[in-house]
Amino acid sequence: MSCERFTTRLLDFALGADDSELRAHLDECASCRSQLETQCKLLASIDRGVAAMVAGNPSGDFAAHVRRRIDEKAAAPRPWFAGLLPVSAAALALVVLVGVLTIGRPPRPLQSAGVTPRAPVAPAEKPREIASPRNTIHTAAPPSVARGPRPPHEGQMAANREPEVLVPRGEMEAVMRLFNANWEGKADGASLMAATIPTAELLKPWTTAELKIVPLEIVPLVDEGKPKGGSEIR
Amino acid sequence: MDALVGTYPEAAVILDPSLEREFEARLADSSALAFRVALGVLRNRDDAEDVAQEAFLRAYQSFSRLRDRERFRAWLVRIAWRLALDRIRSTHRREVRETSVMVQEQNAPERTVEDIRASREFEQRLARAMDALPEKLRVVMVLAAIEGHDMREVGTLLGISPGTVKSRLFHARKKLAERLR
Repeated sequence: MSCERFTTRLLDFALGADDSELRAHLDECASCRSQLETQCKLLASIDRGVAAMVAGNPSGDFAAHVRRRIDEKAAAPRPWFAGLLPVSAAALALVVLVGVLTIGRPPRPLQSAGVTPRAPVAPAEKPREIASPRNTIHTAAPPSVARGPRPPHEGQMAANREPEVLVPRGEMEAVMRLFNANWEGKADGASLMAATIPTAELLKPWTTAELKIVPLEIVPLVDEGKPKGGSEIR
Repeated sequence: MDALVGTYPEAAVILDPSLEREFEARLADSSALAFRVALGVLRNRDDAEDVAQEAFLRAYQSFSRLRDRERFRAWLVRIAWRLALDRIRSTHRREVRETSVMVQEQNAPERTVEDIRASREFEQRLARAMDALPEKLRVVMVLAAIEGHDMREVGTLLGISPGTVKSRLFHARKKLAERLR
């Protein structure tokens, strides 16, 4: 019987694996028994070697050394930064939290019930148009009458570079009046539209020139007395 | 538990008298275990003793927080094991580790020089083979080799079943034999 297929199983058998076929083979094969004996000796040497690695006892004053280390640790002052570490960690966590709340805040809706309206912002190309009329409107409104939070300050609006309401050129003043009136609870569309301000001029409908239609002069094309076209043209 | 092995300076802890007495008892009972575990990794008695003392110091600092005191030995084994591995990594002392077997065999009068040389070579190969073992196999091999430890004791120390210990021992010894034959 060939021993080759048993050679790889000898080590497992030496380690304790059950192998009845190999056991039967070993009864007949002296060579495999010899190999098994070699494997067993190797394993025994390994066990002895590892046991020798971990053999031994600590020194007699081991416990005293441990106690001395504990006492030294208890007597040693803590490093100066040890007390700062928790404080630093808390400060860092606070900064991260504020950053997340500031940067990661979702955009507010433009206008909805129960939400403070935001001021319209003029298009970026015409900043001049939004300056003077707005000041006039704000000073006209007495603070005591104002309801709820005051409209955003001009500087505050200027700082807000993100346009939330784009107003066509020339309609800024009307929109601002409507906005302030709405803010103060005095929205009155009729009075706003009746105000005698240049806005009325701006809001005038466009005038267009009368369209003149010049009748075309149709000249028939004549070629040797016969008109072109008709059945000759395919 | 591995956090106990960190390098952050622990605050000085003073235990109450009852815990102090209990710790003293644990120290007397388990010092050899910590030492041998460290020795199994470091193979240097001085380093092993230093690491074992450090392991007890760490254990003392967290002793009051150990809920299950019956797990103290398992806890200590893990601390000592981790500290010993850290010591090896930090100091690269593999080359200077001694083998206790070598010393014992050199003193044996019946051994010839050739025997001693062969034995020394085998010990060095065995040490390298042990270092090459996966950690979970190596720790089982070391703990099982400590005198008086059966598979149940090893399983208790590692928090695994005796069957798992047996399986890991099988594979560890097989890997060692394959490397050493």
